[in-house]
Amino acid sequence: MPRPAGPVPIERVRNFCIIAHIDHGKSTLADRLIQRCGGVSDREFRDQLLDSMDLERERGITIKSNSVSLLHETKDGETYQLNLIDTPGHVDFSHEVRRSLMSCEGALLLVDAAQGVEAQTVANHFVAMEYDLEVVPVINKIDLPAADPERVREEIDEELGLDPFEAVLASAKKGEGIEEILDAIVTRIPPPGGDPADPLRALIFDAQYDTFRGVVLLVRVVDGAIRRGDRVRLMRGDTDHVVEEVGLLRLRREPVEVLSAGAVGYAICGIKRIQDIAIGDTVIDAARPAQTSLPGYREPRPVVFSSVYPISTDDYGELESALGKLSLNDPALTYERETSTALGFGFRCGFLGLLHLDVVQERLQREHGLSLLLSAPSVRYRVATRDGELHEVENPAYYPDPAIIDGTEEPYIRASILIPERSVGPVMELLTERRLATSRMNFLSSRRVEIQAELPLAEVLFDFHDRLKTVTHGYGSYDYELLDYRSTRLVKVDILVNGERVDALSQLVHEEKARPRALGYCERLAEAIPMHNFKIAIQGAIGGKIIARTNIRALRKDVTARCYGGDVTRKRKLLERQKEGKKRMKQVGNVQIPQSAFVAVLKSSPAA
Amino acid sequence: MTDRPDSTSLPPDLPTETPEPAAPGLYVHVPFCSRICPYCDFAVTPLGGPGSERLDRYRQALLQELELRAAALGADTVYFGGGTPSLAPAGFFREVASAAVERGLASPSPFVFLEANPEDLVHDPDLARRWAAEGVWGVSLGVQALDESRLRFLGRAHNASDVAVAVSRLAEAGIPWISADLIYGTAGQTPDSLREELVAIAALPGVNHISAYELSIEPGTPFGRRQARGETLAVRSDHASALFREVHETLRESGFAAYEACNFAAAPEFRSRHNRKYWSLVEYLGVGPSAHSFAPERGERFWNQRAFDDWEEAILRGEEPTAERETLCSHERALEELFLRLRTTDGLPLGRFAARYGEAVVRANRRLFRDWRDRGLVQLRGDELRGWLLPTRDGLAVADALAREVNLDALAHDRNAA
Repeated sequence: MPRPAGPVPIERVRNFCIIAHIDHGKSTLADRLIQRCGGVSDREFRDQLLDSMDLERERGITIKSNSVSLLHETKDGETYQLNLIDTPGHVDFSHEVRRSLMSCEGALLLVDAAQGVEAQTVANHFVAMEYDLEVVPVINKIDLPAADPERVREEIDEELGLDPFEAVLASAKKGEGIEEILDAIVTRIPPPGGDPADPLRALIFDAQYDTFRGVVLLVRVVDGAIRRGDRVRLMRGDTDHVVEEVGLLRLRREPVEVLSAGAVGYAICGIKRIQDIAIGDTVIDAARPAQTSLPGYREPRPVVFSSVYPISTDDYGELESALGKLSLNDPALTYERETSTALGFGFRCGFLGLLHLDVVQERLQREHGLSLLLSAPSVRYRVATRDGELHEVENPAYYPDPAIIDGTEEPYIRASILIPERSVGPVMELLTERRLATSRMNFLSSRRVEIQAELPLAEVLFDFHDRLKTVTHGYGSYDYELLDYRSTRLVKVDILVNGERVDALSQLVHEEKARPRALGYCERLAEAIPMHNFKIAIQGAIGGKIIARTNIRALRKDVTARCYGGDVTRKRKLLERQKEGKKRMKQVGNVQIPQSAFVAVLKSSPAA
Repeated sequence: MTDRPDSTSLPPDLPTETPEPAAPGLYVHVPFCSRICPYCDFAVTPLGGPGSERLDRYRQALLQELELRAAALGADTVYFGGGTPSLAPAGFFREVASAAVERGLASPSPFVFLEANPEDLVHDPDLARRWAAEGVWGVSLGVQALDESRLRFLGRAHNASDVAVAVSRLAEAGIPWISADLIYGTAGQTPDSLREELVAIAALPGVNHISAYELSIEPGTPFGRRQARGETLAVRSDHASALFREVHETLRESGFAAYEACNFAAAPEFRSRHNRKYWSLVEYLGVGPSAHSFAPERGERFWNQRAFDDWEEAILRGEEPTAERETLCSHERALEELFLRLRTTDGLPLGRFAARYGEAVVRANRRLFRDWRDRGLVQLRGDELRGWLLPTRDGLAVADALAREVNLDALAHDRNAA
């Protein structure tokens, strides 16, 4: 492992990030770079990572950041410090992506050699251009049988306007092209600027929590310098702290004397709670305070909402503490208590978008072992009532009486949809079905089209991604940004089981969508509710008006085949399990609804 | 308290037309088939042909198992199930039945039953006569379907005319009890086509018993794998209900009365003498791979090794080839009584149930039983606490649901079976 005698001079520092569409191989490439520069073997590497994961488990808090300082020795014997700054990979976290990009001078733009340029790749590239970053295209996964680097080169040329011949061909998985990538980082990405003599300004681009040391700030020093013993101030929080330690983000933290303008590293300032800091805030010198903050902070504001219930009511406490832990590192996640007559105690949660919702759900299930039920995702509506008040409503339970509503608005997005030219027809059809407001078409190349479409956010919350993939035979992708609020005609649809409202299934939908949505729910519910010995009517209703109906006939056969050769045991065990399951059913009126029925109705995949 | 029904304690208006079986049964599992049906998940292996070496090993081990399990059981039925017992060589049934009598497991001259494939009776015109000579009293014929496309779908080797030939040979040989077994609910089956098949089966001269089971797709079978891949092999649940009603109505019109959810007899004396023992919790012993046994006095169920080799190995070591045993707690025992007895038109004798599990259990469910009656699922004959719950046709259709509804919370999950 190369070891410089002292600190690496600023002209041999490179700050870069990797931007990529999800699944294009960002983590694998990052791992490879770390491995190559760390000079560790596969085995040591794995062990080291496992160690830190165990550490995370002990602390109960997951450290997400993969930001790391790498030392790279070039062929002519010079040692460079390459600071890889982690970026979240999705539009939901666009602000986080921006914050990461602000800390860099360059970016590796990773494109899958088989999938090619996708909508998110384009979106990320635009942001990188906005911050004037040097972009190095990398065509990854060239080892795949379906890889078509030449086509991808064309796309990089036509759709991103980058020089296709500057693209590095790589297979992160097989370790091919890694040297070339490191060379490109050194030769093409400029060193950071900034004057170490200026008053300190450092951007907090991420933070970690350490049980022993408290909050660990990950910072990019833009101006001035920060050293141990300095008295610093967090501008937004307006709190002063004494710097206990600064250092570099090696695989483990490595203390140094000073972080100067251009450096990326960490600072520990005796802050005990992660809630006491804000990612995106600026660190300044308390004695010589800079006047302006760095642009980086934005109040996280959830736009997608869903009610989260534990499948087993016993897990409510567990869910509460898990949400508490997750929100420590994820200020964008909001949650408040909620009660459903059908599902018991749960939480109404707010997310930055569908992917954020997915990530949180996955972490709750995987890291905390919880089985969860999530209600249909909803957006936040603005409802004006006759008394002149404006309400923000994202929970059907709080939707005002329609009689006193003056007007309703819903959020719109601008979606950028990249598709093969031959799919334009079906995609336009899909968009029209999704209440398309306006659209514009850009022909990027002979084969590929970008559709810029304005449509309600609520319309992409239900299987839009899946439908887009289907109608484009897997070649379509999309990305979106929030636009504004526009007037809408909203109704609250209730689902009734033998006349009783099932609160967990109520939803706010556009008038036009009410009937098909209600019918879909009724049918799925009818298939999932087991036989009762009386007829069950399942209805969709707006207020007192029934708009959809299905029936479950009484006396659905419920007697299994033979106990063959006298094997009564197997059958008894089955009945015991069913009898046990019956105790956990939710009683709605005189009808018993198993949890599985809610799962079947609500499972409409929210992946974006 | 024993499990043997005590006839003196039964109410005078006992609704059964034939008394419940009292003597124990002996089940003999024959684990061979010439080919394996795609829906079957029983313990079977394909067999090259009769007389093969494996079949002989099986016969030897089976006789040894009877010796190992020798006891004064005194079964009055010996039932050969499988698998395909009709593949067994000449003399097999007599030899095994005699050995069982000799070991005390069966009483002298037991009723001997066997399951048979129609094609075996077609290929060997003497087979039925030979069985009759060996003392076989009843044959359960694996008809499964008469419709040609359904037979192919079910992977059966016979056709509709084979069934007619097989039945006539059994009847001519003087086999007194002939049952036709049917599988319904294959994808695409309509009530009308089912009715045609049922009418044709019921009209076969000599058939005096019919079993009709809904196709169930079991994981681990070829059908299970096909269904997992998304194929539709069976009708949907609401359609299955319609077919169930069709079975009951058509067979009733054809002179076959239901006495269990899936079993029909042309007259009370043709109710299955052996299978009824399973539903009325009478003692039985099973021998052969995977066979199940029930010892009510010990409140114990146990079953044999499922794999042929494991079963044989245990016997060759001189050990009983039992794989596992369980002692039922009163909760488990009560649940069994419920779901088994509610499958039958003999129904549930509340007085006996209360005597065994305590009157509190019956009291706790009185309202439920009345509710069933009001919904037309059962008749309540006699006193609310000591009378009989008799399932109607609609009740038989939902027997499992009824058993699940009964509140057994008063019963402890203890290990002291009654």
